[in-house]
Amino acid sequence: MNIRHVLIRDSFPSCIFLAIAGLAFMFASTGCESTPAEAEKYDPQAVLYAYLTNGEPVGEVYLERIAPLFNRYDFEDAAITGAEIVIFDTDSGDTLHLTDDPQKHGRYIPVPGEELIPRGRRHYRIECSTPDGEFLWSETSVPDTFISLNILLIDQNGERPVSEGDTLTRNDPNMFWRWEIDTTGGFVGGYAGLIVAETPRDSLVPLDPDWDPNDPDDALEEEDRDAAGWTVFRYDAEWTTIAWAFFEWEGPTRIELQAVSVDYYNYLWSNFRVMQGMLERPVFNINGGLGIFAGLSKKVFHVYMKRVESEG
Amino acid sequence: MRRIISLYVLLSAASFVSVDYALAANITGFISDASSGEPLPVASAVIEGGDRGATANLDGYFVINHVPVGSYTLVFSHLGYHSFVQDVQVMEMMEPLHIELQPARVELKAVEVKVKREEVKDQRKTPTVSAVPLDSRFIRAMPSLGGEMDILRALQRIPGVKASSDISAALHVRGGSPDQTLILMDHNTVYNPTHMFGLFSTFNADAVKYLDLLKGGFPAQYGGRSGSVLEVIMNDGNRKQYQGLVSIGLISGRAALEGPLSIGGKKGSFAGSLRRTYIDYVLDAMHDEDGMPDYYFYDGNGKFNLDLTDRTTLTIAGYWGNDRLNFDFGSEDARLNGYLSWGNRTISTRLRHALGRTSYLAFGGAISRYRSKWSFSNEGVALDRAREVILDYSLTSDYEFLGWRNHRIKTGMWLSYYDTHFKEENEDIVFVDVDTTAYNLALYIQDSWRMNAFCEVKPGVRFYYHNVGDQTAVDPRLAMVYYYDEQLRFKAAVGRYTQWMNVMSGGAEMNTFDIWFPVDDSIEPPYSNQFVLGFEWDRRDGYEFTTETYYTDMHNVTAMRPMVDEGKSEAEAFVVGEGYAYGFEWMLRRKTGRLTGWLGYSLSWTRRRFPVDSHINEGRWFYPKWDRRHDFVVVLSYRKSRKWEYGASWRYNTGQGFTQGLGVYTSRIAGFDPDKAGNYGRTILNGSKNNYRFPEDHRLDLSVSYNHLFFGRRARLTFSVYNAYSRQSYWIRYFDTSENPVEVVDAKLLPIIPLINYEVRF
Repeated sequence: MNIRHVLIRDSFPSCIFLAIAGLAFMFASTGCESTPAEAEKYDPQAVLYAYLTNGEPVGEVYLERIAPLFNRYDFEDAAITGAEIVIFDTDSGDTLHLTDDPQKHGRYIPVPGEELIPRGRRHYRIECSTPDGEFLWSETSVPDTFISLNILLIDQNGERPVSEGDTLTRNDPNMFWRWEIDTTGGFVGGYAGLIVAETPRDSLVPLDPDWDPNDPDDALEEEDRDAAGWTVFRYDAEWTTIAWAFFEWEGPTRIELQAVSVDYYNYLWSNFRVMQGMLERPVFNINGGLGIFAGLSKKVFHVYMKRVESEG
Repeated sequence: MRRIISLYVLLSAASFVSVDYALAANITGFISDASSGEPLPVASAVIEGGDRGATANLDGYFVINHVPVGSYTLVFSHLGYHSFVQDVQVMEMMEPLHIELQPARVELKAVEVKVKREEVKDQRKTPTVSAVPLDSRFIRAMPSLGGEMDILRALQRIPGVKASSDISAALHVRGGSPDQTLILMDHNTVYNPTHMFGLFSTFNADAVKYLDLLKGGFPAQYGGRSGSVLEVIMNDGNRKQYQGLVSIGLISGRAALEGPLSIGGKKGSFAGSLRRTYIDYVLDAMHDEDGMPDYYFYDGNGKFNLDLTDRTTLTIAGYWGNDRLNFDFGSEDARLNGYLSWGNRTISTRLRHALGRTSYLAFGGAISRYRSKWSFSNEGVALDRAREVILDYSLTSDYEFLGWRNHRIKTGMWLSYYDTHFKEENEDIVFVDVDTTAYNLALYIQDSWRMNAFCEVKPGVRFYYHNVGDQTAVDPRLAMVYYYDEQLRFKAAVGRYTQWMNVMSGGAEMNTFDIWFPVDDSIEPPYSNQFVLGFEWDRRDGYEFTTETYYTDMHNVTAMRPMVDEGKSEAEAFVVGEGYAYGFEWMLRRKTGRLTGWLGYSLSWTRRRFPVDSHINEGRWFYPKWDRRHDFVVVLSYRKSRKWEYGASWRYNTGQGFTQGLGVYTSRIAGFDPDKAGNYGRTILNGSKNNYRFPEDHRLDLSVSYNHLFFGRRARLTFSVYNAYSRQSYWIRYFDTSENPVEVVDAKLLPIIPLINYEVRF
């Protein structure tokens, strides 16, 4: 590229300075916008949770209102009472009306004398009218019944089936779940696996062999006493290996495999994405509010987890 | 369009029709560093007293064409060097000149009459829109984190370039994400070029000769990314003498060696450097505890140049580097083991040839590989393990024709073959197993046409063919420079920029593990339209003031589809959205003298949006994490004497965005009573994405260097302080739901860190 150097002018005339100053002022002024924080306010939406379990009578539905972030939170304070809630079996036409549980605000139980037992491969609808005039609704379906669930302990020496009530330790061979269910028709959106310690919350004892109840450093904090762990598997899964890290507490333990509706699988999966920061909120399916109305079919095993003391 | 092309051809013809070919010749040559013999990119050659001159290309080659036969005095100059004057007898069959410039730090003898004593302060140059060339020597003098002089971190101090946090070396240029910046190392594409989870870049500053950041509006010779270009040229090696460097810092050691090379009577040079951290040894010495992670990284560069003839040079360059992390903790019966490894390998070769007196030809071949692996397991049960490999093979050719007066025409080809693989699984389930391959052919032609004394036009076009889905794209580019006078230039650029690689990113903080896929036939390639307008005032006293305003609209921006746990095509794996960015920047820079550095400011906005069914911010516009309204930076280097040098860097910026919770509710999992959960099911309901901002952020880094002799060798002791007044910037905010009411917990980044580094050159 050839360059010419014959240009002789008064460099940088004052009008350009003025133009720059004007431009800078214009941009700086627009830059002092309100931050997004000021644009978004707390919205006290209603939150509805209702699960339909294949073969079990509908027992409860929960309804509350989002509470302010930095206020002390109590479910019963946030609860919405006096709402009208109805669940419809849209295939059979059966209905179930729910009413306030006098024992607990925000919990709704079937009206005396009414019952609804969800069945696999059926569709359901929930409608809720709050005293404040909100109308919440959603639809879901219920997966088919499990054909089988086998829990095995497998190592190089072979496999050993786990039976109801067996005692296990974390030194046992790896735990393996294998199941069978009819997945046709799109009723199964995926699976959820739960490991739930049934010991009362205040009596939980960690399985960690190095845990010393007399060591103040090992004292359990309130937030440590999380008695349940859960994970999800995809719709096409037929088996899985469960790491012993999921079993945290000594004592009676419930192993539960759930085949879940698409809405519920999306909700559970999106919870992982929220934890990863990819999503801001879980994917709810309640129209007019937040929460989940979902169906599931489950298979349950009970075992006893025994702690093995550290040899050291 | 056809009318525009016709008009252009007509005007082009008119511009050289007046040249008297019979009595004119071309002055060609190479400009290099007198102390090392290394070519000097973008040095300038000017006919004294006249209006003719040229800027050298990246290989130091220049052509002043159609100079009437006769005697002339040429002035050669380059920033940081003494200018050089040479009398030249221009004749029809001239051989190329070989010009050597003395670095400004070298004292000149009285007999060197051809060398002007003053350091060049106002190098004549051909301005490029949005370009920020940086001298690697200046970067080495900047205060740095961990004693590691880092190029990407230095670039983050340029207006218009942002970091997502203090611990990320990734570049967010003018609202773009890191994948939108094409990073070239010796003309070879580099993927995920970071060490230590993004804390440092893979570029060892000791091994870098030249770097140029094109923030936007870049010419047609570059492509494949929709945002910006970073071109890094590594040291060619000293062609005159052997020299080396040994350096010891708190966390790493470095060594470099370079010197002349002679093979079969042909001369050349080599340069090599090595670097390794010893954090692993330090941690081992400090702690003898179970579960202490074991981490280190290493890298090395090598480059060989050989002059096959006085017009032909062969270059072979390579890089290899790796990071490794192992950890193992937990109880005896439920141990958690983790292993992570990632790194780059590159090799490139380039043959350059000065063809005749008006052309310059370069052929290249390159292989770039990025590989990462991770594995997390519990007692041998794989909880999650993954392996990613990106292989990028490329063949390039560039042909520069300088035979038409006032034109500098460049055309070329870039053929790429991408082979990427990513597999993620646990013990039983394969989550993702994707193998993708694609060919991508890019052809370009561009011109730099000096229409008259005041106006220069740079049109160009880049054509792509992508074999997957038989896709094609045409990216027109146009830049203009208006020379108001010798010092003041107005610049403008407009263009389309198509990208052929999509990225599955771990987020703004974890670009280290970005997973790249060539575009398949299920989605359209991302592209942007860029508009840039500005001016630069390049004063003769060494000061330069540049300001630019820009607008970029982004189309087919991709993000990982959150609700998909498998994807058979990119349309299933990615969600496609849109975005835009605009802003205003200025930079006052002093390039020569004892005190060098810059003041810079940028005011910018960028937003993105994805469809409602992606569930990303429920389909609403949002500010990405790297969106910041104001950035102000001061970078200074003061050479008090031969012995003492001081460096300082201060920046102030608007706080970055984060997603703030708006309320609390009880989340319920079927089959489990929330009253048994550690936090009783209390859950935060987040607001929209990045709906809040952290407080503004500012940080001061300082350094002082003492140059001296160590057993007769040049040595340098550097003491630096990172975050001198220990204002820890905000990184992540989360809400502790185990407390009632919920408590805010802010994770903040690095406090004041004093550092020391010692290097000896021989």
